[in-house]
Amino acid sequence: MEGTLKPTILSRIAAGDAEAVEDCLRKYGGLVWSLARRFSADHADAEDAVQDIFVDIWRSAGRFDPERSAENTYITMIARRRLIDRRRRRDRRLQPGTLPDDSLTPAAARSNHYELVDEVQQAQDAMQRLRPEERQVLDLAINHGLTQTEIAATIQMPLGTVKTHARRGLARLREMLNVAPAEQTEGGR
Amino acid sequence: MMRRSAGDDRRLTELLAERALFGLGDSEQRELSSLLEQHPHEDAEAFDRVAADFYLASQSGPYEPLPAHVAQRIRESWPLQSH
Repeated sequence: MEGTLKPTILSRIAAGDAEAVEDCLRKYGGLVWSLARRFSADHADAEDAVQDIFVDIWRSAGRFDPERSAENTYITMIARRRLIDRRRRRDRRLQPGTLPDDSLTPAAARSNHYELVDEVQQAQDAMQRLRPEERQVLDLAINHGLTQTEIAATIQMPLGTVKTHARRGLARLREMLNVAPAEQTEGGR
Repeated sequence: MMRRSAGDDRRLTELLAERALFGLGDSEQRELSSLLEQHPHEDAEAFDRVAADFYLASQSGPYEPLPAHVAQRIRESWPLQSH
């Protein structure tokens, strides 16, 4: 098995392969850009955010472990972390009471052009098994970048309850996706 | 090997989940770093991966393409990684 493993884009980037940068932009540019647009106050902020994210990706490429996660999961993880940091710094305030247009559209009801890996497919299945209120809170946090306070105001739920749903929902997903709590999992997908 | 208390476990889980969803303030980040130092085998990125998978699983495609001028700026950032 090991002998047949193809180098990932990230491993090629870590090795200094400039062509991998083009491959990374081609394959993940849209993913990162779409995520940045959701978290950013405006177009200019999203442009700066995307640049920051890709610099992070170049720097973190060597830490990517394909046994632990899919490449798109790792890229998304880096992007979200950077966007959350930027948002906290900016302390942007969204208007409570208005849900983003595409909020809470069930994944199963959407067209599926996205090239799914098993890991993501499993996540789709697991999402459907969450309690509706857990899924709603996670959707607003993860897909729309709302803070806990903003979520509480938007869905008119006490802040403590939002925190509980967020934490429990994520913990239940982790359990369903069988992400080992301490030791590294074999395969990871 | 340090024994984990139930309180540590609960707080570590809280902080890791909160970081993955909303980020942490400076004092919480320091608290998390301290707990992770005591429990180095904890998979500190597990919740981040779950949140990333939730995002990917929620999306339909195709994604809006990265604007060409932004892609160009990113290409120009590439040598930074070797510094």
